[in-house]
Amino acid sequence: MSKTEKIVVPGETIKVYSQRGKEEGFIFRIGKGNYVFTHLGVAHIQNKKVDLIPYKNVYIPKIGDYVIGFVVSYAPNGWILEIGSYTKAFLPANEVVKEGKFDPKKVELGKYLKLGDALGALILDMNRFSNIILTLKPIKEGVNPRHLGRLTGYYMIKVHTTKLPRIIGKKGSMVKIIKKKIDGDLIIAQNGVIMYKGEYENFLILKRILNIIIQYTYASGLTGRIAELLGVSISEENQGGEVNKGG
Amino acid sequence: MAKEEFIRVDGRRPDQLRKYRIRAGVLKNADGSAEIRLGKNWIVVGVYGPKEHFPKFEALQDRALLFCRYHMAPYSTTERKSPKPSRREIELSKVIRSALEQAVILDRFPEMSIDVYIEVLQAEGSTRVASITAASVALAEAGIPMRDMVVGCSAGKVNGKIVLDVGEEEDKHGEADLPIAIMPNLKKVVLLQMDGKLTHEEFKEAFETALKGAMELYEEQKRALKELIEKMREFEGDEK
Repeated sequence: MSKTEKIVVPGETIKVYSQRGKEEGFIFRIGKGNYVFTHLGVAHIQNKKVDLIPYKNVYIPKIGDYVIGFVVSYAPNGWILEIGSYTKAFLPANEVVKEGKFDPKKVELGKYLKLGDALGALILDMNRFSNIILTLKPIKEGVNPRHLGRLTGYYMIKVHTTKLPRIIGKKGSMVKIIKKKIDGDLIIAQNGVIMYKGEYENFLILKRILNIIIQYTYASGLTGRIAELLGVSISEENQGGEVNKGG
Repeated sequence: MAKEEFIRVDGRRPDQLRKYRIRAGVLKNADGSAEIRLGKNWIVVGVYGPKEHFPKFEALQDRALLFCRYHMAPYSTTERKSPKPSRREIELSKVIRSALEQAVILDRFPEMSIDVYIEVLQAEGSTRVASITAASVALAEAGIPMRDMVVGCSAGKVNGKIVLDVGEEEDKHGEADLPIAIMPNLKKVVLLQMDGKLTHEEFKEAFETALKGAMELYEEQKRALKELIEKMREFEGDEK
């Protein structure tokens, strides 16, 4: 059971495959038992299983993902949100308008959400024909209900979604370290939007940490380095505040 | 008597490429980008997407549209070139698109489009194959799923001799020009054009020569992409 790690580019062939790699679309079948990698990244091959950490990837939402979107347009019965995926998402008006039955003739949608408003939501439904529907109901456990709906007074950073596993760390280790240094409300959405509410100095520290994590995504021992840099010990079992990782 | 060696107009051997260098991730604002220097050729490629296609009626129900624009800057040639898309540029955009379309897994993104913008800053012959080579690196850098990389190279006939990587002078005064683009791992030819006349044997020889050049450029493509990740693996100031 030797584990090998190598950098791969699209088109490099591989005999073995894993269900995970296939599901996430990082390998492509070209013949019986023959597969090729479709992305640039670092492949971990162990016991006939392949796991690829891509350099970049197109964010394809899954049902139940926690995302932060921005209102970009109105529809007759809801809002159109930009969530950083390949297509825009739709938030039905009855998720926000609670007074009785929603009637598009009577209700002014601009009163509830304006263009540019940031909104935390869950993916209710999506299909490959570019329809993403959002919900504000906590349909999944582990999501803080405070983070669903309009988000105001937050600082925002956008990162690439392939960097998120490194920012969160193994079982949230990296986030825990960050939370020890800075207090406040930290939200990490699965579409790569990171929101922080707290002091501006802490936000600047957070920004610097994230830049380091992004720059050295593939380096080993990153969590230790960050802890050292921040002067935080990893062993302490200090959970800090609530962190919404969206699962 | 020693055998006389065939030396080309720029001093290269018949089977020698011009000096080459590929860099990935050169543009900050594009989703993916790459730059190629092949002799005096200097080409920059930017990729956007996949994104929703507009106008909607043009979008395809089962796959994404690949849009390609090959454009030569007004200062790319010795005489000022009009920035307006010429007949040649429109044709090259089309052949580059057809070559790349076969590598990109388009059916993962129905009703979407992917844009590839190729800007030739300096031209010195064989720009279509150099553009394809750089565009495929830019697509890989953008994280767009691909079956294989696409790499192009040209061969030609000058003074009765088959030569690799035809330059500007050789293109103008030579007898034939054969640009090809291949998918090196899947062993497929995605572009094959010919200008001039070659006999059957000469064609075979020219094709083999271009293939050899393409494989050399493929190694450079891989190096350029792997360099991106190598940079992220080592902490600054660390000893290797």
